[in-house]
Amino acid sequence: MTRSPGVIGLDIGSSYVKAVSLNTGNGIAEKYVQKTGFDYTSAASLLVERFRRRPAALGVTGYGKNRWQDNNISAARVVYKTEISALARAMNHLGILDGTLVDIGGQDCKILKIKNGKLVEHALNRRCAAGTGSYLEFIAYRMDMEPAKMNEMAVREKEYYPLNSFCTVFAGTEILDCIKKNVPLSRLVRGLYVSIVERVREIAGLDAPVFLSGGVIAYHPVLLEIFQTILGKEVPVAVVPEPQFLAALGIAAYAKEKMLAPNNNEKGEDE
Amino acid sequence: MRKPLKTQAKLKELLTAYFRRFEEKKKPVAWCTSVGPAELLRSFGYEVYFPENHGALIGARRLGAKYIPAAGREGFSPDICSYLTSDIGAYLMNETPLDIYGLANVPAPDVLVYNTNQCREVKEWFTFYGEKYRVPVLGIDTPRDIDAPTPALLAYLEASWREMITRLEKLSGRSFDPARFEEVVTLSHRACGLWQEFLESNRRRPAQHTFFDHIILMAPVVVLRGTREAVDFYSDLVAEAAAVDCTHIKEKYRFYWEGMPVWGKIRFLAELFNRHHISIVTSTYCHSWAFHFDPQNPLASSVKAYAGIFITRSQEYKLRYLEDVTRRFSIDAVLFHDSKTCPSNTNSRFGIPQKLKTTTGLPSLTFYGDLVDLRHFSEEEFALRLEAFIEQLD
Repeated sequence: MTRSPGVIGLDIGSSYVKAVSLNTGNGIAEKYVQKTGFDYTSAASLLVERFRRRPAALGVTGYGKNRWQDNNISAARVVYKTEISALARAMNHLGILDGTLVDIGGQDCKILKIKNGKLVEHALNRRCAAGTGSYLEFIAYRMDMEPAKMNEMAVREKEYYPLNSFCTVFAGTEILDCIKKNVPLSRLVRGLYVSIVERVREIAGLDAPVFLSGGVIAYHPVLLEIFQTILGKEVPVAVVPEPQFLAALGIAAYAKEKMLAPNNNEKGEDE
Repeated sequence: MRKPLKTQAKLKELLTAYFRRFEEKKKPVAWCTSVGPAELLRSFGYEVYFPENHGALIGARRLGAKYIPAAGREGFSPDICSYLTSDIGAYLMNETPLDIYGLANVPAPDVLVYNTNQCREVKEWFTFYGEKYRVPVLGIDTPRDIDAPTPALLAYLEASWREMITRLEKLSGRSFDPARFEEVVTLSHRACGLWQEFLESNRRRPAQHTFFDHIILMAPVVVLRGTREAVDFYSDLVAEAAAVDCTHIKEKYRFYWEGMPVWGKIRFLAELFNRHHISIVTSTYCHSWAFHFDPQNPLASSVKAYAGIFITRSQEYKLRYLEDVTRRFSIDAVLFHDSKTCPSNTNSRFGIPQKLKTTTGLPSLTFYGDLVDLRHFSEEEFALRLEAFIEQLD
């Protein structure tokens, strides 16, 4: 089945670049992801090349958005927005009009409160990466373990060992110390995930219903169960579809809106 | 972008003359905290030097990261006031940014005088120099977190001031001169009044000047209050500001700045806000030097003015103050600077932003930074947070 990409949403994150194209029903037609590395521009451009046709309109968001430009696309067809706006727009796009979105990315955690389809408040983590993807990556590296293995281990374990360090580096040290004291590794790994949820809860109150998005949720789905356990039954928690691509979807929706705007003379190719 | 006011050009000359007077060594030197009893010291014939001004200069020259570790080696944690650590670090490394005014060293003190109205760190800071220079350290220990200065509190503080007068008489070998003190307080009163008038002129839309101008233009009201030069400078400034036409300035939002400046990022921040068409209209910080003295009652009014500054006050008072000032200046949103090493002048940590939103509806953005230590501030992170905040305001 051939689908025109038509509209592409690009989310240039600190750890990964994510991109989606919209299908005629405004769902995700194609999606790609790759590590950001040190060169935002190359990583993003390579990803755009993977779509089967040149984009008619492009939305760009994420940490590296201001560093990226594509001279092949006229400025009138490109829209730049922050991830906060892109995520809020994506929730609207998915028909989720009320609730709290928790987006855990590579180096930050965002909380968006949405009422009647409008973003009413947002909050971000303090200047510390504890409780984000970088935290997990670092600990996985220290423990020489794949993320999938960590997730699997935490799913099977119901007890957890509380980890108290604010600092990612010291959390690694704390874990090694616990291993020496014969604390089961699986309890430490589950404790690691619990500490992430607790960091999120420090940022802002989580009004029901709660939705989870971001790369961390995508690769560590056990967090859903842990969020639900900690927040209790009265606060339903769900993961949004394609959680890693939510901001890319939202910015694609913005780009499509811009392309279709009545005063835009550079209408894209037909979808 | 707004053009700098012409009066600003006189600052260099004014400050150079001020610092050069220390080199002339005609008068004994007193070091004083920025909201300390400067008028009293001038009335005793001291040339008054302000280490916090030195800290701000270190910050503006981005030398904090160079000097702060040196203070760390002396036992001063990098988590305490970065004015203190950078200033002490510079001293230990025998360097000073005052070289731009032709000074090779900071002027050696004959006496050190602090007031803990702003924070307790100043006492430790001055005690360090008291030991190094082997000179007396005098202080007024003002209680903090007060709703309003009560008669009992003012009586205690006035007794402290009188005790200080007695000690200064002995140290300087001069008798307290009430007439001279009244004269100095009158000059301070006039300079502070003009400074306030200048700041209040920004109630107009669009703003004629911004916080980033204010933190430069405030230098004389800090280091030269109680002098004729400060009065003349602010007279010129007020007159010029009244005549400035800023109607061409696009002002999308009017923001309020709460907390310390980020001295090393003035240009970056000024340009960033300008690009977003946001005027930082005013701040608690710059209003802090708009003291109200009563020249008829110089001592009692000095005691009261220095006891009642914003930073000494209770959370309830601060909230009421912010409600009033944001209404007066037609503010759209408030920026709270969570300054890593200045908890005393960080007002976002006890729920004020949330309370202010409840009582006034004003949204706010709390950002993380520091007054001098730029390791706590990220341009990229700040720009992104601001952009997201603006998108939400839109």
